[in-house]
Amino acid sequence: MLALGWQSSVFAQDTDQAEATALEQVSVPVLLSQPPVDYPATALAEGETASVLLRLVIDTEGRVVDATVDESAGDAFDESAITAALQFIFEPARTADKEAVAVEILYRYVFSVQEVVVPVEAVEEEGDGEQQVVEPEPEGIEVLVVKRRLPTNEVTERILDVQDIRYLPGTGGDVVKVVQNLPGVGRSPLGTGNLIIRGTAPEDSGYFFDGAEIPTVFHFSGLTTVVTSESLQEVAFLPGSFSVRYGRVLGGLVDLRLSPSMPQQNRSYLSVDVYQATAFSEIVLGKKDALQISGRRSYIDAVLNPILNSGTRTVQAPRYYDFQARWLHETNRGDMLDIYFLLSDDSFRFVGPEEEGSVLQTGFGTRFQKLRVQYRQEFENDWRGDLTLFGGPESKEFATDGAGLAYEKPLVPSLRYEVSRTLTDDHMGWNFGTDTMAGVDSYLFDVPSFGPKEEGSSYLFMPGLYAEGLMRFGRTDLSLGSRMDALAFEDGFIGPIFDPRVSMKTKVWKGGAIKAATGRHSQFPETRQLLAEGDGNPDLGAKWALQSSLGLEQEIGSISSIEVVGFYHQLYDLVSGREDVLRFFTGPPDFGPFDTDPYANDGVGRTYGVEALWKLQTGRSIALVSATFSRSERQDRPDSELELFKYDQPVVLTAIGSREMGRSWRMGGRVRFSSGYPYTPVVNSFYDLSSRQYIPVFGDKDSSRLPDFFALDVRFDKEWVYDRWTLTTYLDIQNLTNTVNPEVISWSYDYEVEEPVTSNPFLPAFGIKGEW
Amino acid sequence: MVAVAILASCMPGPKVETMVDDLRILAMVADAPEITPGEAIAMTVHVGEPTNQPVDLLVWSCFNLGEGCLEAKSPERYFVVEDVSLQASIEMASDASVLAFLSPDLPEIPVAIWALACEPGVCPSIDLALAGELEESFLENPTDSLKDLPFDGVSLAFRTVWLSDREKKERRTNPVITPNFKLPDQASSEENIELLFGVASNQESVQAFGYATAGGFGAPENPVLEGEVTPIWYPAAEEMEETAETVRFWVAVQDEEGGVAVWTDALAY
Repeated sequence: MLALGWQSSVFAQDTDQAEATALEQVSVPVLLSQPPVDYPATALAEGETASVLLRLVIDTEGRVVDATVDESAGDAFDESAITAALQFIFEPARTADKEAVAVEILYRYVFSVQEVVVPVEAVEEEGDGEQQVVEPEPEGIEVLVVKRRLPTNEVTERILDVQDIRYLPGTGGDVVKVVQNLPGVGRSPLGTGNLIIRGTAPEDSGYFFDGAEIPTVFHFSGLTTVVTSESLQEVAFLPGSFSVRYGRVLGGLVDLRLSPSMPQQNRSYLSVDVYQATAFSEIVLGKKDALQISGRRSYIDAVLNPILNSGTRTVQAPRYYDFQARWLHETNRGDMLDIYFLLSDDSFRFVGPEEEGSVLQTGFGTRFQKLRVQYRQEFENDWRGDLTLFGGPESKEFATDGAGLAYEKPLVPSLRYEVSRTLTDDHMGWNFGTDTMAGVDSYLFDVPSFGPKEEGSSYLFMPGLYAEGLMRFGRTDLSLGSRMDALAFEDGFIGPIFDPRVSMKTKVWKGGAIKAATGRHSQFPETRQLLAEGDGNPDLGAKWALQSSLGLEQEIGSISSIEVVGFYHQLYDLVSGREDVLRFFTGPPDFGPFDTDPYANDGVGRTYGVEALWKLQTGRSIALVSATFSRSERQDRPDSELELFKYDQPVVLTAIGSREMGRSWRMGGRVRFSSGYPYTPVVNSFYDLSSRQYIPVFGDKDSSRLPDFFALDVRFDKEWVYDRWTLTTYLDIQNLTNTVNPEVISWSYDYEVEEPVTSNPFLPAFGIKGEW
Repeated sequence: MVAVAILASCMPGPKVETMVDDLRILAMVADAPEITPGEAIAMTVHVGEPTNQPVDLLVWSCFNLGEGCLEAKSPERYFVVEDVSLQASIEMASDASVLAFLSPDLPEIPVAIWALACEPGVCPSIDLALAGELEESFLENPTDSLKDLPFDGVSLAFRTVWLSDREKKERRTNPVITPNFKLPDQASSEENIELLFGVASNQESVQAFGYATAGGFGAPENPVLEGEVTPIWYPAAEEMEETAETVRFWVAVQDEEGGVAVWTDALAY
């Protein structure tokens, strides 16, 4: 299941570990009772038989809490099978010490018709009078996969399963975008993929790819991710107080996780929507090898360029593409070699008129290529080792008409080796690992209108070590760990820094648990902030946060759960200064006022609040209601005041859901409300006659706030199942009510009139997808 | 979406920059833009006011070394002109003590010239200046006072003049702008007007800027090439109906060294 939300966070699992050990340690659930099933009438009349492969999630009491179709036999058979399966009662799966555990199984339901002679009065009369008896026959439980949810130390880990949430509205089927609907995540302006987690800046949180950080996860437009959702097994959202396996991040993180196991069958799809075309194919090459290839190309440029182009320049609208290739190989020893290549390329340009040779006037580009080589080994006594090399070039570029160029080009590969043992019979589990990065980081900011030239390059060496113990005492799981990081660079050295972390969870009553965590999380300054040859300060240290949280989770029946978490993050040694220099933004740029003093570890801050998530998941429906109430404050310099942080968003409310409506129709909706972000108002302006530009006079910092945001999105899906393939179409309408939502403040040329940039108006998107 | 934001920020908003719809200092022409410390500068301040109402003007200079203005103790610290219509000229003396700062490593020093134009009674600082009670702190940092003033009826602007001991022939000069057109008798709300100017300058890069009390100017081809530029005024029917009976034009040409020249005229419609 790896369901979204609550239960997942209760039994937050490391999927790799779970799958590696589960079959050996968990008994297979036994079917105790099954209700009669409704044989589809038309199929019955025609004597049609079928086989539906279901994926069932069975809870610790043996109830089926989720049933989805893995291999369809058509709408009618699928619906009948799901309806029946949700009423099954199993003897639950159990561990060696007889503890009942929730598991996921594959279950093949076979519909067959047997002709027998029975008394006429006992059966329905059909056709020419021939007697029939319907006898749907489940052909036993075909257990192909058993997944046990193993406890880890993650207090708040919210797992998104690709299959569960692909139909949720407003996401375009993109699993990573669903993260933005979870509690703890601020709504990012203009639909960009900024990670604004628990009131921290986007640059203080990170996107990871199986534990290794990647530069970005969204293409320019924020419409879609750089990784095809189907290549992922799940997306884990960790808003804070996470394991020592993750480091160098002050805020929270999102970890994109590939499936660690060999695929069972070939599958492919081709999808086309108004923005892009995507192709995906997974091919099983015998028992020991599998290949996965996917790619995507946008054509927004083709649609928008004729609209945008006017006057003396030509706008090249955002263009992006990505490509992924993966080869999985299982060795004769049972180890796994996993090689994955990821490429992403975004471009957005203004160019001159064609008659002048289409000279570049302004252009932006983000691109990276990453290769991941992973080798996973199983050892005796439940130990395992994962060796991962991850790296490749990346760059962000900005250029103007030959007069200005800015770029950042880090090439800093990472090497991870982790030895781990999951919680076993002796109630102890361990994680030991090294997480080391080394390479070169280069940058240039040479755009005269944005200040003096700044250029630098430095080698970076970031050794990292971590150790973590997982212990179980009765109903309580306790995790103790620490992480050590250091940074060596051209002009200095930072560290070693020790980040101890502790977390616990105790089951206090049936279906309910209390959890708590506290720990230190550190992040190094950016290279340009450190190098003396530019404006940097080599004496800077790492900024760090003391993150603490306390939460309560409760299952409500077998299909619903609720979680409430309070958090308090105290931030120290934040880097202040030089806010006026040109930099790359993942979202809207700052307008000021700016702290132009030199860089220093002068900043402190705090962010605190309460998050709540209610989740409902049945065989046909999924619904989430999330709420976040928080406050985020910063003090940039010792002599300044504690003020609201620019990413403070006191209230974020989201309700999102999707339901199968029968006849292969599915309908979903999403309602969002959030407070607007603070901004500093302009109270007057004066005129620089030399540059002929107005200069704003700012009022009190962050003393104004953008209006509240509201949007209603809906989505409709229709599926047609054929013998060899499935066709799906969808209509995803964002901002159905056409609400005008100011997202980023902007001003008239003289700053007298506020002219905010608004979010998208009523925006329908249509897509079609063929799977086979 | 970021791209959309960038595009939006590039697009003109509801306010047209080239239309003078409120009190606005449009240019400060220094004759000359580079002088020897102790010499006087003839400063002409061009003020745009859509209803032709006279305004009050305060002008001063500040060579700020980080500890206030060097001119703080000058006998004529600032100049106040009442009832200014369109433009005012002031003879300002530069501070001779700046000469001591000049050296081969620092052959020229920029000095900021500030001008504050206000509708009568709007700016307390002008009232204080008229009473001779204006404090030096305002002259050091005039932008702070803007926090308490309205947008409308107030315009604060600054430019730079240069102090050096160079030979006169080596100093910066103002460009010369020559109208090579004949204005029509009357502006029409349906026709554009092309204003062809000859521009002479000893600088490589000169830019032109057009302003009008109604309608607006399209962006001229900048920088000025081959000594000619043709700003195009376009009418806007709505503004034409709302404004007074005349439309006033200003065209300023400005080089990258602080040289400025201004042409202005008005048309009935």
